[in-house]
Amino acid sequence: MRRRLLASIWLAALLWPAVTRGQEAEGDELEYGATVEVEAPPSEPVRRSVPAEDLRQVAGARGDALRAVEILPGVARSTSYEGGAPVLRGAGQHESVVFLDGAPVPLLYHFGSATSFFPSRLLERVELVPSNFSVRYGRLVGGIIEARTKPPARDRLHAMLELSLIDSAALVETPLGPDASMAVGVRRSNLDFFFSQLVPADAYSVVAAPVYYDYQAIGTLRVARDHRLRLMAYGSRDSLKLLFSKPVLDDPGLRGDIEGVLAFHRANVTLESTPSGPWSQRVSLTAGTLTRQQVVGPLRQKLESVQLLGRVEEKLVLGSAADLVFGIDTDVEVADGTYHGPRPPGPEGDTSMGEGLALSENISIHDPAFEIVQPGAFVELTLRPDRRVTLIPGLRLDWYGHLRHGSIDPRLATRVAVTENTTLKGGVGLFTQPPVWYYTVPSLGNPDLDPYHALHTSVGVEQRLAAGVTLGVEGYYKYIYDDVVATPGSPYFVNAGSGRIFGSELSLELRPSASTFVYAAYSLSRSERRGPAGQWRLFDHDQTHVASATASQRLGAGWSVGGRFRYVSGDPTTPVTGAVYDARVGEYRPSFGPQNSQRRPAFHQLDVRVEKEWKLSPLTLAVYLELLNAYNAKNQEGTRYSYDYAKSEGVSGLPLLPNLGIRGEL
Amino acid sequence: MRPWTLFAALGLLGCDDPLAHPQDIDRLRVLGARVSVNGDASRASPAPGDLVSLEWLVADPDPAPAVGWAFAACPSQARSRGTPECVGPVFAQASAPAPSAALPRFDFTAADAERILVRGVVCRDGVITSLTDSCAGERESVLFELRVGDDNANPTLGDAELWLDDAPWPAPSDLGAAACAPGDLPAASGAKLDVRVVLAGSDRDPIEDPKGLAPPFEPLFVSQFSTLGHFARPLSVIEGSSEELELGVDWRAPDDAVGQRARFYFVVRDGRGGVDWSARTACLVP
Repeated sequence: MRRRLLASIWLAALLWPAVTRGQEAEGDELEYGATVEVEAPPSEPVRRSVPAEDLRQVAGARGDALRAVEILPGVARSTSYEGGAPVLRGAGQHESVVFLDGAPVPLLYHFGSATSFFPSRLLERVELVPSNFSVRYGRLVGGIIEARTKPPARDRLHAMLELSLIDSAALVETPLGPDASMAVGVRRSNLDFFFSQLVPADAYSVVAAPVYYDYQAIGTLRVARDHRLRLMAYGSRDSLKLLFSKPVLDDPGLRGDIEGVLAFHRANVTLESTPSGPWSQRVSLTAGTLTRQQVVGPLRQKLESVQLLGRVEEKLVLGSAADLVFGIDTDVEVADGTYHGPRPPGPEGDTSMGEGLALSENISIHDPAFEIVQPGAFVELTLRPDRRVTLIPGLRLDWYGHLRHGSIDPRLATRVAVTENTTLKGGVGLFTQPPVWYYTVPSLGNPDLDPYHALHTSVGVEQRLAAGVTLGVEGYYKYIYDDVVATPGSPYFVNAGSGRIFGSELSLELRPSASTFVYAAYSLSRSERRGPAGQWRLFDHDQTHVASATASQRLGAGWSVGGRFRYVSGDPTTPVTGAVYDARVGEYRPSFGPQNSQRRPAFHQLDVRVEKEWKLSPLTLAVYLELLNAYNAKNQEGTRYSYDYAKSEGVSGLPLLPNLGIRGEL
Repeated sequence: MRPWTLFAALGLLGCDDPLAHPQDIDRLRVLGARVSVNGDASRASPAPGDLVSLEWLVADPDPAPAVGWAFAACPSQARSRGTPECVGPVFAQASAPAPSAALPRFDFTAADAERILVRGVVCRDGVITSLTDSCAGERESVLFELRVGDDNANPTLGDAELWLDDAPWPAPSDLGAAACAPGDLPAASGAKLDVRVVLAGSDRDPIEDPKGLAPPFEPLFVSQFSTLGHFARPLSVIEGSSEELELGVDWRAPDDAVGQRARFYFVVRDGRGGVDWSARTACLVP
């Protein structure tokens, strides 16, 4: 057996853009509630910047800032994040990425949709750029979410212990002398304590119930007057093992056991240099491993990889009217793995995904030997010809070593402050992304695939209507070309697809007092794809209407309440029009009507959060109750069929789910 | 890698109450198809130019339903997923001249192709001449894809031992009789009985896998059906790594069918196109 490594190096340069207005606004005004700020820093037309502390308070997010980004416009509702990130402005999940301090996150949520791997208390901000992102980032045609860690507290020792039905977490932050501080956190799920009571005992026996844990350690050290070193380690592990007592229904493909481990571990070192002169610099190197091991009956996959990610950014202030940012970032990966299972489906639009596992032909790969070397370089100029006008042209160059292909992506963003309260903004640019890596593995897919591209355009306006009242309106259009689509037979994947996405987004923030916060968002969009056949159809996760309203109120005496209501169009579905019995396998194969020509019923849900806090100096004790799906809406998340597809019924999502927790802070 | 995921499978675990039970024969059903090549019932894969006979197992609450049928064969090729499709013109077709209780059988000469796709329609009480003909009675669309040039043998259930509640269970002399017949084993109304199938080692072919990922033998999938009562599950599996060639499944007799004859069908597949079947009967007693 040959070995395969997967490593990523990520190099690039320089300082992050100047502190955003959102950061400047932190203070008493943001002390509480589901506070959201929509800001637009220099590099992108739309950058929704949200203090993590505010996102933690969003009802229904279970205190998870990375999950709470769903309240922002441009973010579709997702039931699973197996693809890596939320659906941003009609892009696939694999086309957007969450970055933690500049490094892409391999697995955002435990078990694909539970809590994120990083505690929100260690985050300073979460920023969403749904499209038209800066040339500092590449290899993506969707959007990005940037999570920025918070420097550990330097004033005194802080400690936190939180226990809830879902998981338990502990966190300690402490100064280490005048120039250093550190934070250590750990979290473990509690699901395994009662999981065996939730599942049908006659279906399978539980060998090892689902368990997830994650850990974080951050240390900062001022090594010189203008240099700060940060060391960070973090990781996550999800695992479970179940043993089927009998095959599931009549699918011969589902038998035996279900077993899985998803784990990653990472170490990061970052050096920031911010001298008083015109030059500043940021150098970051991340190294890590990723383990993905799954067994579903006779199907199995195992992937072990090593990753190195590096980034260097340099910033040169050219005077009051211009800044120059340039740098490099490189991604190299090498992996070793085995695989026995069906050929991978296309990134989306595959109607056969609902068929029985036994109906797909399996392939075995012992050595998908694959190496990825992807260096990139970028340069971005920020011009301020007038105090009200900002122009940001940029250029990004990428090389995809495993594809022997490169790309050149020019981008332009602009902001014009028409009045003190009104800002116009816009952007246009090219974006390029390599195919999902395993589509290019010779024994799995097509090694001759090329990267695919997207043109992003967007315009918008920010309007401050009154004190504490801000309105944002944006419109966008994106066109994807050379998209990767699956074919039924060889070569299985080709660059023959295209996509068009357009929409409008509205956000309204009301902050009438320091104790009240209201945020409303509405997205209207249409996302379509077209394969070699030439017919436009809806994207799998096209959601015409995504509306949410979030509110919170501090009542006094330590009481606070919050709520979030969401209304979202149902995902498109493809109707089953009949079935044919495959006598070779012993199962029915469905036949389908026009792809994605129907929709599930609209989703609606109310989440409520109540918290009571006691200050028992030096301790602060809080008890909270969160009700997910407070009025127990029966939202259809899927459809199941009888063995011959003659009968069907909707499958509802989660019912009313209470989560009670207690938190103590020192 | 996202080809299949743990939690897609986990999601299925909550669906332990199916909308319909595939193991219950409550309408006209096709349960399997068996290939024989040049009259050799043990061969599951033809070579180009071989004479192929494809026999279809049809079951119904009626012990001897009259069915019409039509079949057509065309070349096909490997595809990663989805329903197989023709990649060339139909090279053989046939239909039943009149409805008959005999099992449908389609004979044709194998074309020189990577695979051969046989599509068909089975229709109760009707005469059809093509796959697109309408059918006044129940209609079942079927397909079977043969791999040309494979070296695969059919498993055999004909010599398997079957047991009903620890009693040897012989094949019936007349499966088409509606009433209980001499030789039918008794089954008490409402009782839960143990059904056991003991297969022979020769029923499964060895698997040659130089990569070492596959088990030493092909697995055997046994589907079980009954016209009355209810099997606890529709499918039993003998893994290729298992040395145990015996499987058991509970069958519950109906409460309200005293005096009636229950028919049982067992279909074994090797997952590579090899198929065989066998039938049994039982008489329901108080």
